[in-house]
Amino acid sequence: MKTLSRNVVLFSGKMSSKVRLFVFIFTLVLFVLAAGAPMCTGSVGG
Amino acid sequence: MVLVTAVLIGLILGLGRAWINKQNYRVYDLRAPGLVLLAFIPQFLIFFLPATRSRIPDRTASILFISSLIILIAFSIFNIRKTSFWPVTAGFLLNAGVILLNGGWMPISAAMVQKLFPAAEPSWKVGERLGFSKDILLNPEMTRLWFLSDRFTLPDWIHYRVAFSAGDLLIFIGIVWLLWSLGGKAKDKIKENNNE
Repeated sequence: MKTLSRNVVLFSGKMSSKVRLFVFIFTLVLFVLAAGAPMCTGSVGG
Repeated sequence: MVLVTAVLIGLILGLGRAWINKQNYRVYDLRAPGLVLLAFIPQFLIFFLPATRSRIPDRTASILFISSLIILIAFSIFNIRKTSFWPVTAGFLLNAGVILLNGGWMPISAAMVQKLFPAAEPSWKVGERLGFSKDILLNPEMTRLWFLSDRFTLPDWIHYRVAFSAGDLLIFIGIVWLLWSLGGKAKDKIKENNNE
């Protein structure tokens, strides 16, 4: 039981760090998309 | 879209650095991330979504665009304690300055448009917004702060046609720096966040 709960804690810890990384990268991608104000019909704009 | 490559380059450099240092690539929580989504929504409506971008008048689109920039500047200032956000914030301020001084759009010269689209017939008029983009066609002599407009291009050997500003360049540097710094040793990360 102890091992199981420890595994659950470890797994949730790993998932949590992955979720944090995903949220962080997703935020940055949205940020740079908005920063560059992209053009849809060509490539003008950062 | 060139700024998206900043995320890719920064991630590759940061993960490589973490691997070399035998460290975990650890991210920290950005402050007020909801502001980014809030800023992206109006841009999605005025630049991306075909159903809305063609219906929104240029004047309204310009106001929404500037509002979006202000929100992004606020987000950058919320995170300014991270050193890598200094160039990001400076880049936004430069871009916002030139946009505000030129009628709410980023100026670009006819020569630059011709360089980007050499095959296209020059049908655009000076003072006109370029399609559904953030750019407005202006002659350099009638552009305020011309040196901050979309006047840079990538080297020819990259084969990707894009015009960007000095502000974009600063934002690019800041994003790469931010993602690279996350792969550093613990003491470097503390240094990066020493103002937290």
